[in-house]
Amino acid sequence: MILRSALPFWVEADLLRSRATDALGLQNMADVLADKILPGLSVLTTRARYFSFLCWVRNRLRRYDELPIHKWEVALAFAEAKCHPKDDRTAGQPGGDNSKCRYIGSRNIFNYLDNRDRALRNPTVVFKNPAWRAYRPSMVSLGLIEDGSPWNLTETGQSLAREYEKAIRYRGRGITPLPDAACLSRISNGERRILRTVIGLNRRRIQDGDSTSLSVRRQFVCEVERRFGQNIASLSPDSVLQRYERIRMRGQTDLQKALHAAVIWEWLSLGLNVIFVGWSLEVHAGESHRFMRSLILRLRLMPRNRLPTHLTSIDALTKPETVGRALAAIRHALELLPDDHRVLFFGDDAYRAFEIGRRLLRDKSIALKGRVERFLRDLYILHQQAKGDQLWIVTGQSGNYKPALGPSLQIPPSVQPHAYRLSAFGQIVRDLGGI
Amino acid sequence: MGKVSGLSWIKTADKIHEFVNRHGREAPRRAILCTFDFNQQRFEDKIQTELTRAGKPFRTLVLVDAGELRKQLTCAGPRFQGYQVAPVRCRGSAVFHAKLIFLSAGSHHLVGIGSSNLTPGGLGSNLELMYFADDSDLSGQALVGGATHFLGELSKTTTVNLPQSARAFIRRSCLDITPREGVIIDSLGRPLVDQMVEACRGAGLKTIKTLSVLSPWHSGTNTQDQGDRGVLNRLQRDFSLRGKERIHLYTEGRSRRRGPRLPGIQVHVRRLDDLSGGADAGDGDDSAFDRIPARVHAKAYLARSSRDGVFFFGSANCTMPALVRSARKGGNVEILAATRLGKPDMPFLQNDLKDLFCPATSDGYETHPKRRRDEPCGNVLAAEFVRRKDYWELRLEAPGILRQKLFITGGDGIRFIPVWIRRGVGIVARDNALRLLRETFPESRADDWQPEVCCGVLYERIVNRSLPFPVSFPIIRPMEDEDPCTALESMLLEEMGRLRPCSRRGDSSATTPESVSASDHEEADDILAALAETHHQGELDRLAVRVAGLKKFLVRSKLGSRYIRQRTELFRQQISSMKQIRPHILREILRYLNFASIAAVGSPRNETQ
Repeated sequence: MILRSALPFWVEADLLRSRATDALGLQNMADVLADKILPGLSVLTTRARYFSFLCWVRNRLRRYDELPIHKWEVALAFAEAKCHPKDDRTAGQPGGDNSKCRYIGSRNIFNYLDNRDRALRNPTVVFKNPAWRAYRPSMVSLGLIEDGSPWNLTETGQSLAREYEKAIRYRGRGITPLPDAACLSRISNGERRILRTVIGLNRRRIQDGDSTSLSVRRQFVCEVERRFGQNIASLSPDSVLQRYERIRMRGQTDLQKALHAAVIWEWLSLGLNVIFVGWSLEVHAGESHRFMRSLILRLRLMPRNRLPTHLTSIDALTKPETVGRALAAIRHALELLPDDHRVLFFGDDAYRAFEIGRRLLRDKSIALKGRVERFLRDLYILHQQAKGDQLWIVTGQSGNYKPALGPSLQIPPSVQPHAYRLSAFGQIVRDLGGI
Repeated sequence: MGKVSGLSWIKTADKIHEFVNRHGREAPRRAILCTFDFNQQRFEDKIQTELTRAGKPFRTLVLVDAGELRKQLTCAGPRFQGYQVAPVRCRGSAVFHAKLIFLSAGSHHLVGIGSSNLTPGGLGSNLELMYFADDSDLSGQALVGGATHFLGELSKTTTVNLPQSARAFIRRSCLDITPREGVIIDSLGRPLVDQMVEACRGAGLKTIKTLSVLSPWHSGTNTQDQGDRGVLNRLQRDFSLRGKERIHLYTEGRSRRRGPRLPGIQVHVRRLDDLSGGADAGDGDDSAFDRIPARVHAKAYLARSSRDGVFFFGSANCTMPALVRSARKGGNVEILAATRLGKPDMPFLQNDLKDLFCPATSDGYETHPKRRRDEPCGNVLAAEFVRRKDYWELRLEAPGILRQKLFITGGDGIRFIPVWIRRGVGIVARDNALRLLRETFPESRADDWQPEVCCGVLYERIVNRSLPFPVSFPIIRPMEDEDPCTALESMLLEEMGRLRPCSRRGDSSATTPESVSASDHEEADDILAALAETHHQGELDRLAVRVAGLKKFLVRSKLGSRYIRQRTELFRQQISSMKQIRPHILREILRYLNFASIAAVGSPRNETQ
């Protein structure tokens, strides 16, 4: 017996989207650690006054709708463009008038100064994704809005909205460009008081065992104050994390352990990412064998490889010296890792990444070439798992690697360290008048 | 893609989602997935999420070709959480190449058959054909019966090796379905090509005019996609195709529409212009691009007479090991579904082939079918951790070994443990097993840890190489090996739709679905509490509590009297096979279950369902 008129179907692509530049999926662990260091914030929440502005906008809307919020954001961008014109030479420079005034839409808003109606009618022409989407999770976490649609304001959110309203004195009807007082840099005292409280900058005693996100942020502020004093002008992974490279594990707080874990993870990620991106670039240039030779040579000369001096972005990825530094970074991460990695890290992903490094540098049971081949294959598998269908390289017919073709191929020219929300937090603290 | 009318484009995960949405509340829930290649992340992101939705987990078994699985395990530290991955090893260089999805929830079943592996390519990056049917109509019932027949044969055959627990799980999943022969043809016993010819004759196709073959002719990876021109000659002969260009080959081409050079065969290659943006690809809209698959991976054969035809689709490429050899004679394990197409059905397929393929240019390339290189797979097929009364035991399966000493190790790769294999089975017990358990599953060091379905990796030392093999806590143990109380508990948990007796914090698989009423929830909790209480009691008490729990679930079932009768019969069969229960107790249990069934079927509440 056979089936009758049973027609199969073509399988429609079920693609996995991935972060554009996170080639090996190491960002996930960085996010987990960032949640332990600065929970409730993100790398996108860089301006404190967006919180009060968005509370004010949400308060104005009777019914929740994302489009009007996006339009109000463009209205704010017009106000910013008026306060900080494009020809201002001090823009973006320390000490300049608008050095602190980074706002969303600054790239395109000047093209629409004469055609405001169009921009306000269709805000996506100025910027595609509203700031609301980036700030909303943090607003929930800070207790400014309720969790879940329609994202109603909490009491704190309503107070913040009232303070913003009081500060800008907006009398317009409909969505029109906002007054100068709406500028993100002119934060009022009332707003500052509320925001400092919800972010954890107010002097408040931390209860033992208090692990709410506010308490963890407060602990971080105390920790930063202890280490850096009041000077937090340069909160970056490089400046903060490297101070936690060598600490005693006993007697340390969870936050200090998380910072220690972050620096280890950063060295490992930097090493693996530099090698993988460099290799991908060489595969695209048809020179993958050259890269492999260089990697083998650098492994032979392992003791001579110098560690990068800072945890900052690295370019010239295909140069042998850069490869050597990447190997030194991996070795350094393995040296810093305690015997039982579960003290600091959990989950298979972290274990797998360390294991890849360990098998390259410490497993002497197979020849160097075999180790390098296995290492690259391991990296390729990580890449496959991280990028889904947006691979940079693919395996060819005879097992060799070749460039992937596709519309979304983005190999960055340099490798950036993970941000751990430190710079964003530093900017917010500056907006709110420092620690 | 500018199609007038053709086959539809559907995501595999959507079909599974639909079934789980409709029937996923009913227990027991089981899933068996057969694949050649396996990508853990894609499977977990797209399929496993569907199979564990809303706290209604399916007991999932993934059967993967042993060689391909080993490649996955070579990657550092893989873990398969919440499902069991079982390697299938065929003879010599043959591979387990069948692709099948079999889901059952309560009395409902879904079968998917086609060319898709559980990989990014299989889930849509490649050009793949799949067919899904549930048992709501006659054709679906036939397909479910066909899949059951194949799985039943697979669990019984000695031609391929797979772990005992996987065999037991397959057998248990297929117990309540009547197998049907001929709907899905497989290469376990006989070559596929012979069965294809028979199916055509059986369908009344006396003279076959043309045979269209859709199969990849060269591969971007080292899979079994290398076409073989000898097979085309064999097809021509067996299907009695006379005259020139009676075979139409649709395959992957090379640059500038070059196809394989095959005299006397009309070759069509994949249109390359589609890949650089089809007619529908609008500005800034990449969804159209997403739908254009890159590589031909579908496998199908259409035998046509002047009026109608028989269409075969499934896993078999146009190669010798796939079509011409049976698994018994060193061929692959392949499956094909056969369907009869009438005149109205033909254009669907032909329009698509016309859209997706174009005639190849005359400067074809020479083809030389490659033999798959035999790679060492190791002696150990798989291993399982089994909890005995007060210690752990690791049971190794190394089929084909009568008596030999092997060396295995855990994650550290340094300390090797010698294990004697006798008649294909080796046991590591007590301290060594505990050490390996701790190394493979570090979470087992915690005090409140409970084993759950998951797989890790151990290594076997052969000369200077460490070859990985999967080690798991199996979904079920073979009934005859198991303590009757444990076996009954496992049956009861399955009826309750749970994977394990106690829930851990934040564990979605053990939570009760929203659809379950509060009283059901309480009842389930009561049964679990009763199970926990009897852990320190005598065997008779433990048996009694488990059987009473089973009866309770049976009586309360809302799936109708027929279902209850079937389940009772099933339980009776399963319990009868437990050799360790004393006969007089067994008699009482069976009598009790029979009464339960009568009571349930007689109650008006169940009749109305």
